[in-house]
Amino acid sequence: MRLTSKTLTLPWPKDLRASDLRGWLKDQLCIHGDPLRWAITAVHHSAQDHGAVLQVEAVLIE
Amino acid sequence: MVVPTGIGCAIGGYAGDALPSARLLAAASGCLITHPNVMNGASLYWKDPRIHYVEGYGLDRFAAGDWALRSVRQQRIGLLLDADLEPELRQRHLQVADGCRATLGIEIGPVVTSDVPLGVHLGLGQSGASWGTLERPDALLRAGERLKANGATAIAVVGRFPDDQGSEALEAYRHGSGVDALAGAEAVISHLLVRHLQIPCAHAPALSALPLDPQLDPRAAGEELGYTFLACVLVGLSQAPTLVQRSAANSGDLVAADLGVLVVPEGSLGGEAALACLERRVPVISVANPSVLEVTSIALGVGSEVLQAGSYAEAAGLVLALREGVALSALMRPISALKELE
Repeated sequence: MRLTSKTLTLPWPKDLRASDLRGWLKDQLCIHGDPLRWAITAVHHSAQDHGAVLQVEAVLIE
Repeated sequence: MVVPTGIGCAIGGYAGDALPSARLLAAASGCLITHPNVMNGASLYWKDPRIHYVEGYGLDRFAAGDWALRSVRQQRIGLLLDADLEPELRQRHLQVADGCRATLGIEIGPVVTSDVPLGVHLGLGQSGASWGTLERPDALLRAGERLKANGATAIAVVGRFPDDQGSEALEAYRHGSGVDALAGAEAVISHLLVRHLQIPCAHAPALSALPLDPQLDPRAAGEELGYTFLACVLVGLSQAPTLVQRSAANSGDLVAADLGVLVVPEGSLGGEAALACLERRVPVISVANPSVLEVTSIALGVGSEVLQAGSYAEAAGLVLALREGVALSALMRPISALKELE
C-alpha cells in the first residue's frame, strides 16, 4: 500500500450540475488510485467560453 | 457542521477554536454532527450530549448516505502509539491516558505500538492547504487491526510528527495566521483507520514541547497547555457514535435522510460532505469564515441554493428557524407579496 498526493486539473463538463460533481469527481480520481481524502480547492472560470476548470487535491491509495 | 482542517479557517483553524460555535449550533439544532477538528482543543474540550463526534472520513460516508451513526453509552478506546515516539514522550501520553481513566472514567485499552515508525510527512497543496502522507500506512493498519481484534471499539492514534521549531510557518500559526501544517497528515491517519476498520478514530500529534511565546494567539493556546494533544481526543472518542453500514441501520440510528442542514465555511464547498449535501438537496448554510480556499457557492454556480450567514451566530439563527419551521423570508426585509403563477 502506498499513499500519494495528487493535484488534478479537470475541465468542468458543461452539462454537469454542481449537484452531480461528487460522483463524477470520484470517477476521475479512481483513474489514478483509491481516493482517501480529496476536495475541490479552486474553481477557475473562463470569461471567454463561460467554462470552468476545477483544481482537485487528493491523497490516493495505490 | 464541517470546518475542514488544514485550510487556515479564521474560526476553527487552530486549537479547537470552532468549539464555541459548535456549542451554539448544538443548542440551536438539538443534534449536531461534527468532526474532531472542530472539537479538539488539545488540553481543552467540552462534552455536550447533543454533539456527535464523527471523524472526517466517517462524516463524508454519513453525508453520502453510505453509513449510519449509532449512539453508544461508552466506547472502549484502543491506544495506538507510533514506534517513533521517544521514551519520555511515550510515557507522557500513557500518563494522559491514565489521567483520563482515573479522573474522567474513560474506558481505555488495550495499548499497541506500531511495529515500525509510521513515517509522517507534511506538505502543502497548490492551494496552500495542508496535506500529508505516511511512509508506512501498512504499519498503522496492522496496529489498528490488533487493537480491534483485542476489544477496542474506537482508536486514538498518537503519531510522532516532525518538530518544526523556529520555522516561519509554525511562528505564523502560533501568532494566529497561516495553516496548521500538521492537519493534512493527521487527517490521512484517521481517514485510513476509519476506512479500513469502520470504527471511530481520532489522532493526536506527538511533538516536543515549545518554548514560551508571549505573543501566542488565544486560538492556538489550547495546544500549549500540556505535554500532549491527547486528552481532547480521548474525551471525544469516549462516546463517539458507532459507524454502521446504512443497510444495517436501526430505527434509532442517525442516517443521511435525518440531516436537516449543513453548516460550512464559505470557501469550503468543495469537500465531499458539502458536495454530498448539494447532491441530496440538504439545505446548506455557508458562513463567512475566511481560509485559503475560495470554493464558494458562487464559484460552484449554486449561489441561489445556498443560505449565506455572516457569522456562526447568524448561522445558529438560521438553523433554529429551519428547525422550528419558520420561513426565512419572514425574517428578512423587504418581504414581497405573493404572485400567482401565470
